[in-house]
Amino acid sequence: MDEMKAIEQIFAEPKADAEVAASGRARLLRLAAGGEPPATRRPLSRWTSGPRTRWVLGAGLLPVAAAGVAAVMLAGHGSAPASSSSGGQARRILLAAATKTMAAPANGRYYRFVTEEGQQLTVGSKAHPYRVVTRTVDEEWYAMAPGEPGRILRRDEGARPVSPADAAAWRAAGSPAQVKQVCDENKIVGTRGGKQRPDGTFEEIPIRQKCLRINMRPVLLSSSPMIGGPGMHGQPPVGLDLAKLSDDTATLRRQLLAWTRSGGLDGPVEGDSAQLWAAADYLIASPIGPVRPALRAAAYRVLADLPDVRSLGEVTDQRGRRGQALARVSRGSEGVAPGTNRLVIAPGTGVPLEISSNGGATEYRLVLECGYTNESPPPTRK
Amino acid sequence: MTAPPETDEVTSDAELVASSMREPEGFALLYDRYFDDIHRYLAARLGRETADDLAAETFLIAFRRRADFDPARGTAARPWLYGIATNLVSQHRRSEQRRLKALGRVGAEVSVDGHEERSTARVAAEMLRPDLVRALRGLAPGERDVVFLSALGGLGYEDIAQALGIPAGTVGSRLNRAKARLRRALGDRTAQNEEA
Repeated sequence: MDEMKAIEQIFAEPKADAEVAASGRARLLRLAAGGEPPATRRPLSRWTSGPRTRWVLGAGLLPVAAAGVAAVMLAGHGSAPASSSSGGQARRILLAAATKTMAAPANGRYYRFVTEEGQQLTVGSKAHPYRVVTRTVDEEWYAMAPGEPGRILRRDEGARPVSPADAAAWRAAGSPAQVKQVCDENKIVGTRGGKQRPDGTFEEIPIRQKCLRINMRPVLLSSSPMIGGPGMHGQPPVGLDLAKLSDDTATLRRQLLAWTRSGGLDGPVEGDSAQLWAAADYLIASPIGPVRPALRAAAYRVLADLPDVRSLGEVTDQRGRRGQALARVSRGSEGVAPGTNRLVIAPGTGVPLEISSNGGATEYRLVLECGYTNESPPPTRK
Repeated sequence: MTAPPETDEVTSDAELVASSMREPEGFALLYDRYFDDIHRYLAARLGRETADDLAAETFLIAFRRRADFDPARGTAARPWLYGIATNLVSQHRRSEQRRLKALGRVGAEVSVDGHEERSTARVAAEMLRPDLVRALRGLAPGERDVVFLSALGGLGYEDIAQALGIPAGTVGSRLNRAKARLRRALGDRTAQNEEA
């Protein structure tokens, strides 16, 4: 078996359900008939379809997020006049974050970037389902001393029940160390590609639904030396050279646009604003290597100049940290997935706290640590 | 006068796109032709649930941009649609990373096929999975695009070039580089499995 065949075998998923295909076709026809405005938000995925106000992923965060999303969506459609006050507020927050960022240490033995990702899932059994939130932490340690290897760690922090009722259901099930996502594994949910036929199409082989198994206790998933090279995990995307990026706002803006326009984002994203938001996201909230404080500050100032970034006000993240939420609503016509992209910044330090799309209702991504440190990576031990 | 789209099986993609400028509903025929392909590709890259949303989104974007479809670059809409879908993947790098991380985990839960479907190929691929997925994570996004367009989309060099808007020569070099890295990551096990 060659590697391409193996990739096909490993990654192929069941075909879309008939109703999924049909509902997409209906949307297309509505759009064709002029019945759908050009910048609608795509429907929420299956398990986000419940009433948003009842969604309890993290205390405090969601009501604010949901309200913020609604407000921003209105502005994004252009039906309401752009709120200059929330736009001006966003600019003030970003400029303040840039100033605070400049005060962060500009050197250390390591540059550390730690993120936490979480996702809400229904687990247990069909008869006794309950909800948990998975939590996975990634740590990237970039060694500053030449020749010294960095380290990448990935930890499953163990899922936790969403509410006290969910916790009671988990205990009633015997407090299992591992829980299983609720789904019917006997169900044939579609087909996957088999051999390629001479006409280029693929044979279809039935495939059964698969359910995730989720750890309820912490597990160290991996710990390995960091491997360098552009595009590798934890490294900048191809074409984005951190050392060459300028700390000057106008120059950085030009450099980022040059990068996005030469295919840095792997596709034609339309509009400076969409491109700069995506590019700044790399510099501010993604593990791509040591981003010096002056460069992160410049990225904030680039965002401050965007006309369509709005302030959503103060929010509390999944870890209970308070921050200022900023949002940009992207439109399908930009070549990006439409929806609300949110960046939460700690006002006191300017460090990024959270980055999420579509309000972070069902999944979230937090930045737990970001910056230079003289601490060392935890010892390698399972 | 064109026939109603639903009855005209042999209309080329380019003709369909062109006629949809006058009869927008006709674009649905392109959806019917390629929805499964696009869903299959997106599901492989981002997971089935995300693909459920984004496959339809691909066609909505294509519809809005149908005036940009250039038949001079090829009369088939397939590469064009894969290009739009790939662009959507690039906007969901985190979902992609999450999926790669999950699939790359040793002992990760994977599809439990009934024994009748448990093909030798599947078993062989399973053995390679952690190393292969780790190596895929290490590829540059542009290299992963080429690999997946080839492996899951079944696109040739020319079509991939058209999808990504890059020269075919670049596709070739990216694919060769990527394959070499994947092979290195797997050591000599691809050959062993071939014999199994």
